Amino acid sequence: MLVVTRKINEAFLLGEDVKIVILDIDSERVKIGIEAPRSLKILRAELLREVGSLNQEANVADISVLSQLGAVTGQTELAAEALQAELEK
Amino acid sequence: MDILTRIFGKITINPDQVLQFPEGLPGFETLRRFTLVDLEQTRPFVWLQSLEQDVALPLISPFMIQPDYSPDINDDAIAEMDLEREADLMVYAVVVIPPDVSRMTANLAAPVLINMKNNRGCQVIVEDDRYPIRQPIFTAVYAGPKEDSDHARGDP
Repeated sequence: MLVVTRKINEAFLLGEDVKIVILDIDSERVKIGIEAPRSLKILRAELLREVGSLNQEANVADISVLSQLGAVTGQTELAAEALQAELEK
Repeated sequence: MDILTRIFGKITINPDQVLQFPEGLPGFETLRRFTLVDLEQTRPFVWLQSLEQDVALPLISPFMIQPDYSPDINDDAIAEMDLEREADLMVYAVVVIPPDVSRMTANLAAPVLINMKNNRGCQVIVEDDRYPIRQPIFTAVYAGPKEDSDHARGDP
């Protein structure tokens, strides 16, 4: 890994199209500006990992989720009916 | 073709219902072929069912959660799908349905895009504070959109 030391407002270039600027530094975090073509994908590394684990979470483990959804819909309908009855009084 | 699924039992897929995801999905990078399963009893959810493994992700229209949903999608993602007309594009959010269904959330930061014209799809990630990866959706889905609570808090 190439390691580069920079001060605030100093920058470095990646290839010809990408410029990375150090905007601010405090004890725990560094604020970085990126100038790059719109077509370049820029992602915080942990975000891709989070989306992957969310997808795996979404892959429901068993069929009971369907009956639960049914139950919720049923309850909603019942609640709506109760409300309707209440309004008609 | 017939596939056997844990959730839906045996389902029959016509060739024109096969969706290609050339890059797979985050978390399921090896899966390339999916289909959409739309069951009346689980609407408004539809299911992105893999044809290669018994994997099924519930999806919902993000516009049901945020009517003005308009993430800034990377031009390359659109180009890779050969999207010619916006009218061909379907947009979905992946839903996590935990045992307590009232805590269900949708991932608004990583919409699933499908070009219905050529059946190509991908999941893109958008960096935008308006679109959290765990947006609670139970109230919006089962009781219609509610007032913006931040706005309500801001008013004296």
